Amino acid sequence: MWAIVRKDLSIERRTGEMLTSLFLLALLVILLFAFSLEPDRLRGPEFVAGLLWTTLLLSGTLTLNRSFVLERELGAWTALALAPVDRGSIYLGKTIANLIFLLTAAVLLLPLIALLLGTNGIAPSPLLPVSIVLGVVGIAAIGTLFSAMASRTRAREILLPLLSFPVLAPLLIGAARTTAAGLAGEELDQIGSWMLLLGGFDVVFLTAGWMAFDYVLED
Amino acid sequence: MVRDVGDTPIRARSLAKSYGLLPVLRGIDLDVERGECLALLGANGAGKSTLLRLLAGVSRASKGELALFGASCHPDRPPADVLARVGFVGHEPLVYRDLTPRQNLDFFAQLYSVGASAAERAERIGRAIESVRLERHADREVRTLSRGTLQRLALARASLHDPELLLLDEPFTGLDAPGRERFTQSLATLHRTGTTIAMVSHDFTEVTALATRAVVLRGGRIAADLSPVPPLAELNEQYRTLVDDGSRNVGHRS
Amino acid sequence: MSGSSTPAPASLKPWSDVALPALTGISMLAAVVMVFWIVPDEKIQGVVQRIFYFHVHLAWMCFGGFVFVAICSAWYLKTGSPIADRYAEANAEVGLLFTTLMLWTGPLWARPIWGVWWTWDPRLTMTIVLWVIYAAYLMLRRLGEGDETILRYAAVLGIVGVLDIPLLVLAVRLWRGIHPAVMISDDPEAGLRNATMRWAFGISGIGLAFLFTWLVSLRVRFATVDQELAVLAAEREHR
Repeated sequence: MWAIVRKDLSIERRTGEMLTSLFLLALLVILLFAFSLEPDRLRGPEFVAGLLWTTLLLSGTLTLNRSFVLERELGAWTALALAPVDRGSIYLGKTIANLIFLLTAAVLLLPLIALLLGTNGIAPSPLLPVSIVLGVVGIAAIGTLFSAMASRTRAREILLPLLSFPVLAPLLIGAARTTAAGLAGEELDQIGSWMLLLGGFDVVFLTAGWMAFDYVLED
Repeated sequence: MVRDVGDTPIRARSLAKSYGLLPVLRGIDLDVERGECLALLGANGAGKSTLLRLLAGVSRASKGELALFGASCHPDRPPADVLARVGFVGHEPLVYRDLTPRQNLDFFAQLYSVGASAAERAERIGRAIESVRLERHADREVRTLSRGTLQRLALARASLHDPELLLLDEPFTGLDAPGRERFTQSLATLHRTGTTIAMVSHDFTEVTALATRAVVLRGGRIAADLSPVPPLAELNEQYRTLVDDGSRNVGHRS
Repeated sequence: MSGSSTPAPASLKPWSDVALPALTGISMLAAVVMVFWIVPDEKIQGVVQRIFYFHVHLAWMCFGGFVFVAICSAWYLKTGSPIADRYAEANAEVGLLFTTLMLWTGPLWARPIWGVWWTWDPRLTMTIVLWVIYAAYLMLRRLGEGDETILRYAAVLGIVGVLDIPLLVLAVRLWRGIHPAVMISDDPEAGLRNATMRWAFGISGIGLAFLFTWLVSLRVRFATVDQELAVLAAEREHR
């Protein structure tokens, strides 16, 4: 499992493809929001949180496509499928690598968005990092599974968002809400059930992906 | 020599495969014994690549039974200890283009648990690189390498864990004459040291140089099983009657 | 593979060709007659309330259909049986059709009663998300063009989709719970005060259940025949 993570990180170190495109895409999405909606009205924790998650979701899914394209390119996918290792751990390895990329992007983006939209009413509480990690784990769990599936088809660029956005809907609702609460300095008892929702989502789909990869990594 | 069945590298019974609706293999019975070097021959669409991919576990058969080293690999999934005894060289080199050959080998060495320590692993990788004469290219990114170099890297990757059975899908395609020469030598060395080999090939020169047995496929069935492999001219002649003539005159031959 | 199976004889099958269509026809006809001519208007909501005799059942049947997709998908992954795959596809298609009907009858009711075509009520939100999930499921299948790997991926998606439903229910409840929505009782049972109404409700439920089953069985038959035809064509071409 960790061999996969290290492998993906050293590819990233050589090309810088994932993080650069993730970050630039995210920046573009933020600009698009500012242009298409009146930026002065997009203030406060709710908008910062909402913008962070839409941005991460959009740019994250587009970038995660690469994750399995590079497995397919020279057929490495086949070599992975033939290796005497548990396929579930291949999934977890890929998910962890993607999680690292997404988390890095989130950490860079959040202050940027807050800065661009104005920091009025923002008083981060310790819940903020928890909500971000739980949300990003969910995107990585679903994104990695579906990216592996979509990489098989011709229309993978369309297919990955098409498959993952609706399934991620509950996560997005929960992550936007908890991040907003975390930014506004709310306490755990106000958003406890939301955190449970996020945690539940992560557990359900990490398990599902881990089990399903047996069937996915096969031609 | 009497051998335990559990030791037979390949044992296939009525193996069949359809892609969607098109039947490609229509029932293959094949035993490959330890130490053999088998060449799978046949026209395009005869099913030789498909058969090799089934044997390697790259794709799944639709019907029939397959056992590698005595362990059932179809309908069951090949167990991990069997996978660890098999190496596969495909059409593509099966590596990552943004890593160097050394990094690639290091990654796959970890998947196959080659070497007890990092130092031992590095040493094994070093030896693998030497064995296919890849020293000069070992630390350049894969995407900059030529087809011949890639093919040698593919062989190094597939034989890194010292597989007892090595499967190759058209390994000579796209190689120039010196490239072929070198690749054949590497394979011959592996074969001499006890590796069982099964390969799909169009190149009869290499086949006659290496193989101890040739199986000709036609229309998804075994049309001939030649052991030992006849000399080049004779093989050419036999192959032509089996494959070219055969397709025009199915009624007479079968 | 069912490649070598002999084509089904052309005789009528007693259940799927006779009983099922007949039961569907009778019960649907009875339901339509009851709902449009016999039951009285509901006191508060008036004539539009009649839509609920169908709408509510549609919802349950969609859920049932999607759960069935997941069951057949798991069965397909375990055995690779093409029948399991066809049942999964058929249930997804008919389920999606029923979801579409639900999304269509919903606003017809909502406009006069709530005063808007659409509101981000938990059920509506959930329905539209489900609609997209299963539309994507069918889209993945289309893109696969019968490739067995894609069929397996679709099966994985069929299971993931159902796992998503409880999370989705929870999420939309929590979400809309915070901003109270324009809610009049949208629970039709509250309005079913007399026996005729309850009868109509029951019969339309049975009718729609038969309709769902019949459509699924037709769809599976269609897929089977389609497969057999393609096998014949492929064999002929191969010769």
